[in-house]
Amino acid sequence: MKKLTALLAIMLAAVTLFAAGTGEDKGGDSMRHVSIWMDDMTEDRQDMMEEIIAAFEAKYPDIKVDFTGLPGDATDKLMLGFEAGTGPDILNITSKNIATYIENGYVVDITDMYAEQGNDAILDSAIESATSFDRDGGRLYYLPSGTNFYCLWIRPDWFAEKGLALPETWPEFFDDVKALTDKDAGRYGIALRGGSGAATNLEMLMYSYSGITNYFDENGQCTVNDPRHVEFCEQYLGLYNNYSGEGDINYGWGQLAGAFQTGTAAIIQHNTGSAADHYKVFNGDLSKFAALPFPKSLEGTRVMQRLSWDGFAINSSCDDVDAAWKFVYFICAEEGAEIYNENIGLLPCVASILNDPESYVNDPEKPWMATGSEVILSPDTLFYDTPTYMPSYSSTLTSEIDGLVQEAMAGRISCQEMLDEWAAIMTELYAEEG
Amino acid sequence: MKTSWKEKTINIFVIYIPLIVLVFFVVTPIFWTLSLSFKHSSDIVSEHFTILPDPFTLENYTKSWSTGRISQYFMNSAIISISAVICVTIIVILNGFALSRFRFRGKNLFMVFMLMTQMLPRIIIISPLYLLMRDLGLVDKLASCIIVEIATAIPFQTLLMKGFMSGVPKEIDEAAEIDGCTKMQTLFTVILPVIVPGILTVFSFAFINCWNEYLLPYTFLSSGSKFPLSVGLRYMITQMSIDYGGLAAGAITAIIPPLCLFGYVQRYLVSGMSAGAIKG
Repeated sequence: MKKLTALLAIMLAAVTLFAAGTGEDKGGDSMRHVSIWMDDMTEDRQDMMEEIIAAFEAKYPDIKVDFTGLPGDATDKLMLGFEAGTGPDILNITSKNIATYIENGYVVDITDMYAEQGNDAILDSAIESATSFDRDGGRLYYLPSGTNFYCLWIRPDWFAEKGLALPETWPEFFDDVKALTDKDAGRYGIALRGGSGAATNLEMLMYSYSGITNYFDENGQCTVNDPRHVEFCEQYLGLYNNYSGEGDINYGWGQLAGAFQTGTAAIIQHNTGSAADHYKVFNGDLSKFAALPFPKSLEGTRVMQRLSWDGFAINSSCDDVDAAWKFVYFICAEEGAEIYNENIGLLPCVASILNDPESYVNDPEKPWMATGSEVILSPDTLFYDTPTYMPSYSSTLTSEIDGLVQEAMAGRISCQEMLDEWAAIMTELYAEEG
Repeated sequence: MKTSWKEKTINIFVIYIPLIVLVFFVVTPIFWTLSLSFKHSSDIVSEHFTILPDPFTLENYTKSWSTGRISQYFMNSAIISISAVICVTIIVILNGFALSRFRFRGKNLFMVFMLMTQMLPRIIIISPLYLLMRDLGLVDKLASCIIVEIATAIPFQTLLMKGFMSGVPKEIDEAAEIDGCTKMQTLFTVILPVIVPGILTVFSFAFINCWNEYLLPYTFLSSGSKFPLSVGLRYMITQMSIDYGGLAAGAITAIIPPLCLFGYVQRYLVSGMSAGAIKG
C-alpha cells in the first residue's frame, strides 16, 4: 500500500512539475510582448517568419514577438481562442474568414492607425478591397499583404507541339482544349474541378466569360444565372468526360494538380500560389508550365474576381495595440513585405515592390509573378464585385453550390437549372447578409 | 482426416479469398506509403509512374530528422503517451479491482455512467475542456493533453480491466486472505500476475489512442515545439501543396512505436482480448 501511495504521489508530482516547468514566465520582463499565430504553416515558412521577426526586433528592440506557426486551417482554433480570451494579438487573415471576425468583433478597427501612417505604400485597390468587408461603414479591419493571381496553368510545350497559339478569347480557349485532347495518348485538353471548390472556380470563369462585373443587380437579384453564364456553363461543363477525364467530377485541388503535373491535362485553373509546386515537379523547366490570364470576355474586357488580399489583423483583446500595429505594418508594408510574399508566393500590395525590376515579382525565373502583376495593375482589367463581404458566402459556395455543379456535370440537372438555383440561394443570402 | 475437394473449394471461396482481399486493402496503403517515403520528391508526382522507388533514396527520412522537427514531435508524442498510459494503467487496475471484488451501492449505475461517457463524440466536449484547461493555467502545456488523455481513457479501460479481473476466481483471493494478505497485497501479489495479458491489452489500447490523438493536442497546445507527431505531420500539408515524401517518411516513423509494441505484446494481446470478452 505504501509503495502504491508513493508511486501515485511521484506521478502527481511529476505531472505538476511538468505543467509548471513548461510554462513561459514573462513576469519581470520590461519588454513589450506581442503574440502572433499564423496558420497554413510549413517548417520553411516558420523559418521565414523567424527571419522577419528578427528584422523587426532589430528595428524595434523594445518589442518581443512570440510567434506560433500552426499547421493547416486554424480557423476553429482561432475562434476558440477568441472566445476563451486566449487568442493571439496578431493573426493572419484570408478573405474567407475576415467578414466573420469583423461581425463578431474579434478584430480591431485600424483605419485611424493606417491613416496616421500618412503614406501610400499600399495599393489603393487593396485597401478598398479590405474595407469592403466592413458592411457597416467601410472601415479597415486588417492590413492587406499580398494576393494570389487567379489564372490558367497551361502546358506551353503541348501548345507548341500542336502549333497552337495561346488563347486570347474564350472561343479560342474552347477550340484549343479540343485540339489538345488526345485520349489515345492519355492526354486531356483540360482537367475540371468537380469536387471541393468547383463552384468558386466556375464562378470566376463565368464572369470572366460574360464580362459582367456586378454580382447582384440594383434589385438585389444575383446575376449568376445570366444567359451568357448559362451559355458558358453549357460549353465548359460540356467538356467533361469528352475533353477531360471521367474522374474530374470528384476533383479537388490535390487531384487537379496531380492531373496537370503528371501530364494528364493540358490546362487547369488555379492561382499563382501553386507555382512553387509546379516548379518543383517540373524541375524548373518553364517550357512545361506557364500562367495564362483568363481569356477576354465577350465584351472584349478582361474580368477577374475581385482580388482577395490576405493580410494581418489585431485581436480585440490585444493589450498592446501599438506594438501589434508596428508589426502588422512592418510585415505588410515595410521590410517584411517582400520576404513574406515571396516565400508564400503572393503578389505584394506594395507598389514599390511590384514596380521594382530587382524584386522577386520581376524575376525571370518566376514569370507567373510578372504576368499577374501586369494584369492586376492594368487599367484595362475589370474586377467583378465578389460578395466575400457576406460572412456565409464562401461556406455557402462549398456546402450548397459545389453539389449543384457536380449534378450539372453528371447531367442530372441542366446548366440553366443549376444557375437558377445558385442565383436563388445567393439572392436570399444577400437579403440576409448583404 | 482428409479434407474433401468440396471443403477445400468452400474454404478457398469463403475464407482465403475474402482474407486475401482484406489483406490487400490493409497492406496496399502501407506499402504505398513505404514506397513513397523512399522516392525523390520529383519522382512522386511526375509523368513517369513507378510503383517501386527508382532511384531509392533516404532523403525524406534524413531531411525530416535533420532539418525538420520530427525528432521533437516524436519526443513530445512519447512524453504524452507514456505519461498518460502509465497513469491510466495504474488507475484502471485499482478501478477494475474495486468493481470486480467489492459490492457497493450504485455500482451498476456507476458502470453505466462510465459507459455513457464513451458515447459522446470528443468534439462536443473539446470547448468546455479547453476553458477548463485555461482556468487551470494549463493551455499550451503538455500536461493538459496528459490529464485529458487520462481522464478520457479511464472509463473504457476500467470496464475492460474489470472484465479481466472478474475472470480470476474469487477463491484465489480468499486463499490469499487466509494466508494473511490484505486486499492490496492480494491485488498486487496474487491477481496482477494472473492478468498480465489484460494489463498489456489495456496498456496497448491506451497507448495507441494517445499516440494517434490529433484533436486534443492541436486544441490545447499553441507552440509548434510542443506538438506531437500527429499534429506535426500536418505541417507538410498546405492549401497549395503537399510534401508527399516527407509525409510518408513521417507516417512510417510514427507507426514504428505502436508496431513494435504490438509485435511484443501480440501473443498476450490475443489471449487478453478473448479473456476479457468472455468473462463478465
